[in-house]
Amino acid sequence: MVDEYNVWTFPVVLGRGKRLFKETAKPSALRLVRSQVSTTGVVMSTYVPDGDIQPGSFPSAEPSEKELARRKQMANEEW
Amino acid sequence: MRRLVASTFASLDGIMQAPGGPEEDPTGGFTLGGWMFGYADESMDISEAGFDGKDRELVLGRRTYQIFEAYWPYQPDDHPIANMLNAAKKYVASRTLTMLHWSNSTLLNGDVVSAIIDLKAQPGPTCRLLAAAI
Repeated sequence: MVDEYNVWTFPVVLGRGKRLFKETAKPSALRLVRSQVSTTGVVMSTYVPDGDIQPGSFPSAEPSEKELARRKQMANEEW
Repeated sequence: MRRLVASTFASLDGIMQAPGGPEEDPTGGFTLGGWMFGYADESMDISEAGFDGKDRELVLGRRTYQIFEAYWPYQPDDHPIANMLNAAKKYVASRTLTMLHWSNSTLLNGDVVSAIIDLKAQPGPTCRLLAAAI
């Protein structure tokens, strides 16, 4: 429904508070169409929607023994 | 179909609560309101942030509306941003307000998503959604 996002990101970490995108936000990819940085470190960016997220993975040959063990731990909720 | 542009100030960790001052929105025990101060410079184009004379139709959440309604109409007559915002047509999403007193304000009735879809289908300039959590 939103065709463009102008987000000014300030160089502060606040920890808690109301979030720009809530947990109920629909996961989606964005395309950066413009970005500028102020002398004070504020990143002023403009994004447009760019469809669904296309997850990938680092190309890898066979997983190592260690990696297989780690996956087994995860499957057993021991990780 | 006209466009809807959302403009927001955010921290690096994605928080948009109360950038302008400690009294703006301390709900939930938020004590750091006013965090955007100290970062102004002349490269900041206020029209990019949505305070724009070109596209004068604004979409506001109820809390943003109430913050703005209590501030912008009370600024001096020659305040350029106040003049733009006071003159702009404003659509307000609220389930609780029944009357709006700020000039040129209209309530979006019923389901906010369908109200905004209807709004986008109407002729007019780009709509700006200001300072909203999405």
